[in-house]
Amino acid sequence: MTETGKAIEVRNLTKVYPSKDAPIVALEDASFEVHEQEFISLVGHSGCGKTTIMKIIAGLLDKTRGEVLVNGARVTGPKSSTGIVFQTPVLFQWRTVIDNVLLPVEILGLSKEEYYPKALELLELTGLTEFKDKYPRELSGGMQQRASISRALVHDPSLLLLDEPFGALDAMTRGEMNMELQRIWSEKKKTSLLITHSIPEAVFLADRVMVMTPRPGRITDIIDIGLPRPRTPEMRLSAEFTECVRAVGKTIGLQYL
Amino acid sequence: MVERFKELGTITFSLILFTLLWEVSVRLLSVSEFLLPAPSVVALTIYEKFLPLMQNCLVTFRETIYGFLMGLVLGVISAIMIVYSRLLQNLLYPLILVAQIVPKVAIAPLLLIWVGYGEMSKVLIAFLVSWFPIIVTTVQGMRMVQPEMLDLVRSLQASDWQVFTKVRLPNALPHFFGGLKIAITLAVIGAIIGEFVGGNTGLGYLVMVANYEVNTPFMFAALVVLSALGLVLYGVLVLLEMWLIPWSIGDDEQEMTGFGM
Ligand SMILES: Nc1ncnc2c1ncn2[C@@H]1O[C@H](COP(=O)(O)OP(=O)(O)O)[C@@H](O)[C@H]1O
Ligand SMILES: [Mg+2]
Repeated sequence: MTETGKAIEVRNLTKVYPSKDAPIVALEDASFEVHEQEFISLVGHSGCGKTTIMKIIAGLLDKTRGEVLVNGARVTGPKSSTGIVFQTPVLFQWRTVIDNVLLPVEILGLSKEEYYPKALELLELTGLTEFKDKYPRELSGGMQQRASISRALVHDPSLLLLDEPFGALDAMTRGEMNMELQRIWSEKKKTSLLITHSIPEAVFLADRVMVMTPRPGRITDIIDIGLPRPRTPEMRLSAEFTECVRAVGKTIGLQYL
Repeated sequence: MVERFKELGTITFSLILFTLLWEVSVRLLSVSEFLLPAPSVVALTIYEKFLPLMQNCLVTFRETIYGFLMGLVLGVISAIMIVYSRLLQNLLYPLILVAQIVPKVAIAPLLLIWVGYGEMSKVLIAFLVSWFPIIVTTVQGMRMVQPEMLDLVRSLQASDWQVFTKVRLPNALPHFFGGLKIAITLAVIGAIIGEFVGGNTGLGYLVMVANYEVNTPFMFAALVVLSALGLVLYGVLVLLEMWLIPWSIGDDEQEMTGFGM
């Protein structure tokens, strides 16, 4: 726990990509905070700078200006206390599922024996126990993405960053994955930042939804989601849920909802 | 796996059918042996000349393998140097390209002058034709890493060595095997070219001798053994690939293009 109870603090974050003609201003003065153990969804049109924000928080990308703190410390480079899930599973096809999950353990030089039970437990949690010795190409897209979520959690990071993790999945699998993610989050209580295109998904999972607008990318609205937890699939049909979805949609400029 | 065996069955079947057709048409049309010998005649020739064929096959095999192994070792080393050093890439690539563009058939006589008419000259030609596909495919494999894969290991603060051993190297393996398969077939051809140009052993030399003597059945016999050699070497690589990288999907057909002599 940090003294402030804040997992992420972003202040006046600006990112300019150099380019041959005009430099691209991907972010301009974006500011927000994420509390510890909070689940935040980040929505916005594609190209508005969501991935850029995530990469800067992860320490994978340099910022141009502004201040970014994770767990109270200035971000200067990648930190192993971060777990990342990408839009595609990014599994190493030469490793079995269990060895993929253990990759962070290996890279961080931790004891594989010690973490093996942990990896098994995560595969149990994501329903992949029977597939632990299979190669990624033998798994469906949804199963691969579940494996990559297990991998992001195995070294017990305090922060989980998810960049459109379910974008490539069909609607039904996606709904199941939402339930799964909620269960993992409520069990592990990791501070989570979920980037998504789907407003219902954002609302369903989050404590708060942050809305971004493009050119220049900045956070324009933050909407509290007051729905009780745990959230259930039936809730998606409730008036409160629809109201939240509508509120978020309106800030992005979607009026039809 | 089952698919592969099915495929093998189909290939065997069409080969047998082809041989039968050949036999029947040669007999029916009574084609002269000196133009096109029947498969049975070729088979008989192989039986009669088995020892010299095998002795010379062994020579060609040796030249091919030495050349191929040289190409493999130097190919991989150059590939790693190219991927990891901009300077070496700029120095090596033009050289490699020139070595690839110059027709090997044309520089074979030169090599013979330099290193003599022995096996060494054939080994060198086999090496020259086989290292290019190995370099190109290995470089490709090490470079064509999904950017997110690098982001992922970077987020875990992986060292350069870890990125090399845990990402680039394994990622290159399927490409590398594709390169090896091209290289081995080219290495056989390289060795044969060397034997054509000068020397007094090897299957290529036998083909030349048969040609002078207008002994077409013997020429065919040498060609059959030669093809068998190429096929077996290729097959060994396919088996090695299935054994060493079972996780690879093995879609190497698209890599079979673009590596001329
Ligand atoms: N490496 C880069 N070089 C130049 N421009 C980039 C780069 N990455 C992203 N951009 C630009 O920055 C903007 C924001 O990109 P991104 O953060 O990927 O958006 P999002 O994830 O919201 O779709 C886009 O206009 C994109 O074209
Ligand atoms: Mg993005």
